[in-house]
Amino acid sequence: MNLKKVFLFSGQGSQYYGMGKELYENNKIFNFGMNECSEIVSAAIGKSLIEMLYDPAKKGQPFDQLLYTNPALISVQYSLYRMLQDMNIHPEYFMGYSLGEITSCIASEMLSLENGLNLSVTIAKMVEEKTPKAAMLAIMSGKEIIVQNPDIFSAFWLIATNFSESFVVCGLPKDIQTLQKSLQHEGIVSQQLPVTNGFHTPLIDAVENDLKAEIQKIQLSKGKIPIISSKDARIKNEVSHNDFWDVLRYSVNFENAVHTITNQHDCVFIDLGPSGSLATSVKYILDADSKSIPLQLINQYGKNLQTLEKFTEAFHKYNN
Amino acid sequence: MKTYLFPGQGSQKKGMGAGLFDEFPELTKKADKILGYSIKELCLEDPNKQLNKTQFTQPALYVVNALSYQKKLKDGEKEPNYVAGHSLGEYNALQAAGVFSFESGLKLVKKRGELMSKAKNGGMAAILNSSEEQIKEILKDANLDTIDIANLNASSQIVISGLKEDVTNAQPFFEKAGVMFIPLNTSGAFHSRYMKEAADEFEKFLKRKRFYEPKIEVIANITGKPYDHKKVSESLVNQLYNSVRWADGMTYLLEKGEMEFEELGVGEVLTKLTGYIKRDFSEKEKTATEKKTTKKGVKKKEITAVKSTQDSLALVTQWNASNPIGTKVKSDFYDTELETRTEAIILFGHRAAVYMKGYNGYFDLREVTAV
Repeated sequence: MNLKKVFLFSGQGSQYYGMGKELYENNKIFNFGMNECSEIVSAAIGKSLIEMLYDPAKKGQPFDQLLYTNPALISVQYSLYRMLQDMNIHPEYFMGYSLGEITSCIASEMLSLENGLNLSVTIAKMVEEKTPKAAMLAIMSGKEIIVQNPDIFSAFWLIATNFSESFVVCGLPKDIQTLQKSLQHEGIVSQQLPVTNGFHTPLIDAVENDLKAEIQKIQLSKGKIPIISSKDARIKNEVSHNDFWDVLRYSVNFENAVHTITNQHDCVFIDLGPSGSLATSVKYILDADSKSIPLQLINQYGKNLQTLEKFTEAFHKYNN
Repeated sequence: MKTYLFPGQGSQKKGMGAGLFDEFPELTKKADKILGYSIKELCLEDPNKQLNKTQFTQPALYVVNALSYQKKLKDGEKEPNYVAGHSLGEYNALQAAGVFSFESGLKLVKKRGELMSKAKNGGMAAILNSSEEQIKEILKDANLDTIDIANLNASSQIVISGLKEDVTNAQPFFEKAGVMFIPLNTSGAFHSRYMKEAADEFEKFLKRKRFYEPKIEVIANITGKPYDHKKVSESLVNQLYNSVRWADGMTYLLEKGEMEFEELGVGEVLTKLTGYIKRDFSEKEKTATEKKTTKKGVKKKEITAVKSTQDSLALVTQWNASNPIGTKVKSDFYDTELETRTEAIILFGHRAAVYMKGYNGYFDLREVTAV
């Protein structure tokens, strides 16, 4: 079977304290990558990324401070990428979801690791300082529910489509419980995400000019490996400065991006995100008769070495 | 006065029509013969996962809608004064009005479903809290005038249709304008110019068909007015590649006076929609009355949604030019002095808003003044 390998990078909401800890302790390459990232950002965030992320006292607590979650998500996924390279697993495409698009660009070498990590910190600082608090809710239903019940969604923005029966909305914190109750009343399951700012909505417009000015300073290069954007489902070999703002400001359509690539090739989607949520979405997006497959590397239940072994087994089964 | 409404594609769900197939075995048998498969099995069990495929969805909904109307008559209900159906549902309205028989209608719908299912690479999206004018303006600004308006369901609910790529590209432009943009899962660009080919094919198919004069008034999708019974064929062809003006049709009926609407078939999509159309209608009525009573108010009431967005934008720009973050303000609703913690922004596409220290919710910019 000739499956194209697509590496998936997840965004905000998929993080948790302790992500990748067992690998950090046991895998040299992952450990090296994490230390490299930590060294780059620790000064900017005012503490050691590693100590904060792997502090045993924090385990299980909500991990939702943008200043830490942004660089932590990039660091873990970049280090997993380095680890896969070392295992001689190389992708044909990268696909990023929201913040994961920055990780895509780093992996494809469109921007340097240092610039990418620092950009994620700049974004966090500006957004936390200058934009209102917000709340995000993942909803397990088709989006038709918004069309059919516009009143209960009137204070919200649709910010992401994961798959046909899962989407995300964002609004102000005071409105989110009302929405959750209305959905419960309709028999629809929803879950609040650990993200407290209004990405993908006009709520972050207050930082548009300042952020664009910061992004403008960054050196961009042509990519080594094409990326697929989950904002507009385009396959790109290079990105413009404004693309970085656009992926934060406009909505995500992950379903669309997956369809774009599976319309061209059968693929093995490898989720480098810490919770395996993108692999789960891919599973639901693929047609019943599709030859493509989703695989995850690690998840929030720990036992990284076991899940990695399972991944390796599955990968070699499909890729020979 | 009473109107029966028949829903269209999107309302289908497994289990629909339960009980009806056994209650009307003759019609069910006729349907099976025309379709070449068991309609009861498709609707109740859907063993081959076909119910969401256009070529199956349309006949299935048509049969369930038609049988539920038969059930009404059987239960002794009177014929309604009006009938209307959304897109595919229009065939049920015409059938109820006697324009064609159950069997002839099903043959039309079968062909229609087959032709529509061949349309690929299409995309559709629902736009909420906007207006036809604003949507056209946004599409023009975005150089996307290849996108058409497919359904005008209510003033706050409009569906656009075009090539999938174009619809995807349109999304950020709508989001920048602050309106809700909801991509829908369809394969074809229904009710758009991209259905012209299918419409031409359908026209050939309709040439041999005979239509009778309706005995109940039918409201047409493409005009929002009663059907011209001499132009049934033309209307059905045009409907495939033109906007469904549903809100216009319902508004026409509301203008008739006391009107009871009842949705037949499956689900309550049209019932919910009617609620919004009624609300818009009574607001319009109210505005019309106010216009008559207050001469001065006339101009102000005519401001469109687009205009008010522009006003809000001007207000926000003006505010941010002279009031930095940390400005002390007074609100109409709070006695104490407040302090802004953000710049002014546009919320939900129209509301000029600003946030205050110590308060989570937004403040309407029109309700605060700098101290």
